[in-house]
Amino acid sequence: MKSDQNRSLRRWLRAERAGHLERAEIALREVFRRLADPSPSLGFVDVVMARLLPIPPREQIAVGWRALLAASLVLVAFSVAVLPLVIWPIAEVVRLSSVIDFAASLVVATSQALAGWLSFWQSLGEANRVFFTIVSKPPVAVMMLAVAGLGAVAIRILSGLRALDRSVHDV
Amino acid sequence: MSELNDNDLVAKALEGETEAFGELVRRYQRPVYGLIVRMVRNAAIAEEIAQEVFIKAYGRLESFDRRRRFSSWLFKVAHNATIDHLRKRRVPTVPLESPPEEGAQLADVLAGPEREEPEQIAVRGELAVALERAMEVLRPEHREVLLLRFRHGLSYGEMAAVMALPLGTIKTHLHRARKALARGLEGSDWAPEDNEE
Repeated sequence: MKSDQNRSLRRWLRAERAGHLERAEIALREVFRRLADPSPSLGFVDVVMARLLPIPPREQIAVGWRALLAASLVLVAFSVAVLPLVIWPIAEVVRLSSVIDFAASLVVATSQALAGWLSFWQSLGEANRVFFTIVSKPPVAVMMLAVAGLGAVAIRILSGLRALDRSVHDV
Repeated sequence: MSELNDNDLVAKALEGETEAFGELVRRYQRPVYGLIVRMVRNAAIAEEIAQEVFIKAYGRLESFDRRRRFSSWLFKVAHNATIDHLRKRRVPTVPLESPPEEGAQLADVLAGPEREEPEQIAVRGELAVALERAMEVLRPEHREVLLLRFRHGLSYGEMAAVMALPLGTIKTHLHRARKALARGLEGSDWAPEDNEE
């Protein structure tokens, strides 16, 4: 046998062989106590914590949302309670007829502004009609097409000249 | 933090103090890892599973019933994660006797960091290796009941809760596991002499 240090193992095996269950349990517990407690690699706790940090516990999230919801409900209830108290004094000072007058003057001012805008658009439309009458005449249309064609040719020539200039510089 | 009990740490962790959960990880990293590594017989995979166990435990912390022991609850999470892993991936286990690096690594892990006299280390090492070898050939559930009962001191009821098995089945497993372990050790030169006291 190896050593006296291992009596517990022999004691357990003897108890097990003899069928002394209670004694065997105690001896086996002693044997297992001698087993080493293996540890994970250094930094295990840090790795776990680093993986945990982005995940708040569910209860924490729920508490946050519940608090926000409760605060919103309190605010709404407070507003509903306070609003009539704020409006009532104003209602007593301002008469109904003055409110109607004010609303009517708003309608008049708005319709006048609209009329001004309408006349402006009307004059633009008139100018457009005159321009179209002139442009739609055949000699004017031909002249405009010729000018557009000349412009396109000029742009093409300029672009060719620029390309030629760049190739000379690159060499 | 280290002076607080498990339940206080759980309460603080639920209030958002992650450092409290860090203390629980520090406190239980070795028991949890020890159980898993002896179940899966692979140091690297055991470490991965142990990480997952703590992450899952953190996510489900509000479901922990504070009338129970935190360690039992954590062992249940560890048991489920390990069984899932064994079922899904068919973990390649490493026998202690195999000379390659993996076998040596597992043996080193199971030997643990010792601070004893060299002679004690040698004797304890021999006993530990003999035990680990005898456990290696046991069925995983037999290995688990032995560890939970004799290494971690769980009651039959707690073991039944951890492994989600009826009390009778736990007792049967434990009885068979003990007999198998004894047979394994009797076969080696650890058997007591007949005339020994």
